[in-house]
Amino acid sequence: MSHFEDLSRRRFLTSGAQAIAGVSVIGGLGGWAFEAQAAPPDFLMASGKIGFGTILPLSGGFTVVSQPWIHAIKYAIDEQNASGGIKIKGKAYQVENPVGDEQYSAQGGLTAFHRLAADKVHYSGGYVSVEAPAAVQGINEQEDHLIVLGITGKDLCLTRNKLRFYEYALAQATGPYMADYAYSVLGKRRVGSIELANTWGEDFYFSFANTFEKLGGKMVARSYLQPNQSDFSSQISDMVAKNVDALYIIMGDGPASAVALQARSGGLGTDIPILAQGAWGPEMYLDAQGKATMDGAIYPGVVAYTQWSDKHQKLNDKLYKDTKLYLNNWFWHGYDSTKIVLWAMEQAQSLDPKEVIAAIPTVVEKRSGELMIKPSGAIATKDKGVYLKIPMTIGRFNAKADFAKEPALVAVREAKYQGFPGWMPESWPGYTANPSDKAIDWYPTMDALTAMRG
Amino acid sequence: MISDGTRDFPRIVNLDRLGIAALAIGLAVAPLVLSNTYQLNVLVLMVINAILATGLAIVVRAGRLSLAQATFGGIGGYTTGVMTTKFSIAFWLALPAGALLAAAIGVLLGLTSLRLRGFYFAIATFTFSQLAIVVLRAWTPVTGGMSGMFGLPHPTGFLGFDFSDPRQYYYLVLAVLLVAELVYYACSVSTAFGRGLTVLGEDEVLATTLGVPATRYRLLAFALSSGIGGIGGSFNAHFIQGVSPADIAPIVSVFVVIMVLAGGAKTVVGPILGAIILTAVPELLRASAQWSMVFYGIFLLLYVYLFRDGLLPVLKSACHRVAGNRTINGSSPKTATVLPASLGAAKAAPRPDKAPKSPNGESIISFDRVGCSFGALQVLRDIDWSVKSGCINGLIGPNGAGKTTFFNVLNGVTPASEGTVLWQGTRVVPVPNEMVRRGMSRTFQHARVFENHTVAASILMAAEFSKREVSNSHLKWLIAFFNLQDAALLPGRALTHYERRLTSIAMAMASNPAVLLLDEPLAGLDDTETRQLSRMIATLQQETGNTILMIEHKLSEVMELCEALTVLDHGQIIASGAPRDVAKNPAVIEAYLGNE
Amino acid sequence: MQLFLQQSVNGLLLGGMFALISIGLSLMFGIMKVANFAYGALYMLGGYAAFWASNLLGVPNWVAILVAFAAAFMMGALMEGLGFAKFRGNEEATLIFGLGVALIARGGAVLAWGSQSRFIPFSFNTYRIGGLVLPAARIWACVASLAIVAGVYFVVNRTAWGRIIRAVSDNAERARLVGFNTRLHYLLTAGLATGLAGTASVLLIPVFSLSPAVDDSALYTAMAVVILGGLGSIPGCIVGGLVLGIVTAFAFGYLPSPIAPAIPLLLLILTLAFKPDGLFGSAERAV
Repeated sequence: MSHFEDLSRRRFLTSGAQAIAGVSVIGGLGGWAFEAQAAPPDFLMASGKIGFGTILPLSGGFTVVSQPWIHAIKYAIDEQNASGGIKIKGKAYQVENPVGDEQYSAQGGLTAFHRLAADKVHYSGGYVSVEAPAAVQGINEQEDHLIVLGITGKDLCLTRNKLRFYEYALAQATGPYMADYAYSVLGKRRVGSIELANTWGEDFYFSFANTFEKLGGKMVARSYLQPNQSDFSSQISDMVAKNVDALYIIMGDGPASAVALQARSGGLGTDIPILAQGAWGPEMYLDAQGKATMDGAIYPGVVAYTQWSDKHQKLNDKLYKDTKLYLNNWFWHGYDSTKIVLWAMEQAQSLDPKEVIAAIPTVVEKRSGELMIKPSGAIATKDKGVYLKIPMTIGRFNAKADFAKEPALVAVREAKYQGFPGWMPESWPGYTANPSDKAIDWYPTMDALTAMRG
Repeated sequence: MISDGTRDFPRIVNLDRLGIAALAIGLAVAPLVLSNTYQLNVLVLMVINAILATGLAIVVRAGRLSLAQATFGGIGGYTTGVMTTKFSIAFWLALPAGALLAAAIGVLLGLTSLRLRGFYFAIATFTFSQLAIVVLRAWTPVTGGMSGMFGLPHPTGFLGFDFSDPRQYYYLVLAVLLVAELVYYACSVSTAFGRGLTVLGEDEVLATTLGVPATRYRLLAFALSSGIGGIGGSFNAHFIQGVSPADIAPIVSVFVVIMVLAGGAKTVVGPILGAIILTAVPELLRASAQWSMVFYGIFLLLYVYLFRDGLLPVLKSACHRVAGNRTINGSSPKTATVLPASLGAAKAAPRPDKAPKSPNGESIISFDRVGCSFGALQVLRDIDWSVKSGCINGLIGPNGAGKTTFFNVLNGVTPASEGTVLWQGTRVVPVPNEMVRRGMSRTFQHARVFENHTVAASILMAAEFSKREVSNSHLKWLIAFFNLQDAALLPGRALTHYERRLTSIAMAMASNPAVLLLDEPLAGLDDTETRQLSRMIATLQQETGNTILMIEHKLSEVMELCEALTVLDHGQIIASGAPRDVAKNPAVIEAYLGNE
Repeated sequence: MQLFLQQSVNGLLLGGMFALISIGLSLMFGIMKVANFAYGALYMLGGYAAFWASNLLGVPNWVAILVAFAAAFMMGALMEGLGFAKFRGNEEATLIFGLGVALIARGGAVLAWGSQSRFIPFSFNTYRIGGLVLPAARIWACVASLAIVAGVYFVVNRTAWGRIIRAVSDNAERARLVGFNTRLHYLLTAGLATGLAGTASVLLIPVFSLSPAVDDSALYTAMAVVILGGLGSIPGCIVGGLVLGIVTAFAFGYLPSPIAPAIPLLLLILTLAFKPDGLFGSAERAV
């Protein structure tokens, strides 16, 4: 009864089969034609320069705190170029710094990475989100690309990756000190926390909690921030009801200031200190209201962040001129880690990332005095890359400071919390074990850490 | 009106075939031409987007805009991701599982939003996509939570390829795209389902009245669409070797919608074109995400202001102009030049099928104490009525009496709030597409035709959708009877008002109904046309022996045509019987005083 | 018990704020029957207008609110005149037009102003009454919400102009034939609706601060409230807002926060599935 000449099942199947066959033939031919005669890599971009890229969010989130970091890398590279570039085997090379938009997402980070790789860039730093570097893992080794990473989270920075240079403090190292400070110096006993629900947040939570509870305190309220969440009143009220005496905010940028603002107006007054991890810096609190909310917040930073010198002044002025923003916590280790990698190229007399990364520990030993962050060396692991030994200091955010002339973070009085190790001891099994191995103690308490350091 | 230029084209270059061939060659050859990894990655992404867009186009054709296609992709990606990493199941086994899960959830979503249309449906799909993201984020042990899952394996084990080379991956997903295209093709014109779905999206009321089962077809469309989406998402996840909630943010689904609109859901390759353009251009511009957003926004505005059917028709008419083909007001020339085979020249003179008779002599359709109300407003009240078989019945009354509601209750567009409707003596609950299968067709006050389909095709479809036995001879006879030979190859939008009226009646008759409901068939016709159509109706009834029920205001015609007359006023029958008697009824005269 | 009361208060305050965000959309979608996908974007832009006025020109806060209203009013009227008027009756085109404007607004805002949070220096305390914590900013937002909703209700249902608006939205053809300048009235109503959105934006800056990202949450919240409360119903705004607010507060207060966002979303989907007219809905719009 069909009045139409139709697509019968048989025609459908034969068409489908024909299509797939056709594609396979062409694909086979194409794949066969693609016998890549890979020329021996010179690790240089088409312009003849060394490529050191920046992958940070220009959109999508954390864009304010990433700006100083972007410029930190740029300034480091500019300085090196100005002093003659990198000298390898008698030739001097300039360094180019293409910037890719990480978009605070996996897709964005990947796309940016692939663009850099396509342009024959073999080094990149930045990576603020958790998704982007996670997406790039493994791919960077395939592409012979050294990534400079500063974001914590055991499922991210403690996975297998031979071409990873981890240049910041691990949460496992700083968390116990924060807990110790909160308990022993501030006298707090009941902490309420709110964190980003990912491996980064988790690291900061447990590294704090384990020590805090061992000392005798209690983590009475743990909650999470949902992306796009704008109201926190219920979670805050819950904390108030549980008589929280300190608020631990594990996130940075806009969401953190929103949480703090609502906490202060929701019943957690200024007698309840804010303990913080994440991206915190003066650029977020350029107006009175933001500053007032954040004044006194306690968080760790690299030692350079709590100091001021001529170099600080020079670079702060330059940064302000370029971005209308001030030095923040991520500036210094971004700046210095870039230099370390560039110097390692000269140390290794090679541009091959595998050789450069192997040279990093030596370079750090030799030239630590020239670096603002004063690292104590670097740990070269078997297959997880190189971890910088970076000392940290706990400080209080001073909202009343003149950010143009003084540091925003003021070191706390007690010497114990100044310049403490921001790295895990070399004997720590975390450097060799699989992150999903539950038998490992991923968040040792302060006592355990001290014992490990011997 | 239409110039004769539509009837023949001096130089038709068959641009459709040419275009598709060019596209196919381009797609096949692209990875051989481009060499660096980044470009190859973009190509793969393009094809995966095309798969998602093609799937979505199935639902868009059905008249719904879904803002959840990327979410179904995510469901597929997470399913295969979890199965391959946590349970070590081979990708090729996990893939159908992911597709089935996505399809099942698509059906579920379809069920919840069945009655919704337009904006509300879009909101429902949007809310669903947010809900899915919340679930995927919260279910950390399985999905990796906010960070997502990484380290997913490439799909190995097919013909020995390991697909780590983007070129191989490209051809793999290209093959998948071709299969998706075939499914889409089957859902658009070349199957009964496809035809039904297409007209459902164009004119839902007309389509259901002709017999298209809207619910079933839409659910099937959702299932196919989300299943294809799931497959595309799986291939995406195993290409970038990871999946995270950020990849399926609602805005990504919006981008897939934009791709479909860009290419146009009216053509078979439209979605592919849209995907290619909207993937390539932001990459070419090396645009940041924010500039991409602005670019997409601008594109959308261009879409609504300048070209509503997507880029393809714009490109096509530009090509036509270049090729020298004449066009009508910028729209492309008519879609067919030859009548469908089943309506071609016949050996013998065509004859109509005889209308089926009621088997047990019962009245074909009747009302038993039927009432119909909308909230507090009662439109029909206590109607006891049955149609007189084998002749023309009339239903008249002043404006607002409830005549159209009467029809709507008859064929199920509006449910009766009280009483029963009886078909051949048995109680039924009328549903439009079922009534047509039983043998009752109707037309509408405003003549409804398919704007984008030819008269001939529309009549054939009407016969097809009814699922009734109808001979080709009957259909040929209809075209001749209603003098539609000259208009047969014109699309609905090109018809005169009179031709539309005739076509709509022919479509209703195409199913050879036992009962034909005509709602004001003579409205808007001049005197000549009125007389002509009036006589046609009479002849129609005689030739087929069917039963006709007609609402009309032109009382002179009514008196002449009808053997039985029912008068409705304020929702109640005030008179019924032979026209002469009814005309003399004082209550009827009273009701009509001052009205015509 | 104390916590339960506090969460109830949180829910009520949240609900009032949600209603404030939605009243513009209720006017636009419910009365004018225009589905404006750019509502959130205009909400955001209104807020920025106020912010820049306050920040660059140093105007007092009440002036900033007026600036927000005026700026949003103009943008809404523009959208109506250049866009919605052309696409009247074509739902798909309306939707896409709104979406296009929203994307441009959002992308443009980030490019122009960055994505950091902005504040306007209101100074608000927190009241403590009987152990309950009541942030003043939220209370004032709720007061404004009630006032505005009542005002809109009054205007729409009790004034001559309101009658005109309802007539126009009911049957524009007929209204034009009777002699009303339908174009003008559409412009005014659209402007008013988005103007209210802009005002809401400013009033909520002390609570939520301002960034380009607020457009999404404003749009979703407003749509959810309007759907829950029922299309075409102004008081439904308050009811829908309160329902949503209380459900959200209790979900986040008592459930682990990864799960909590699902609850209001489920509520919305179930409403769409089973009672698309909402709790107070009059028109059979959805079906």
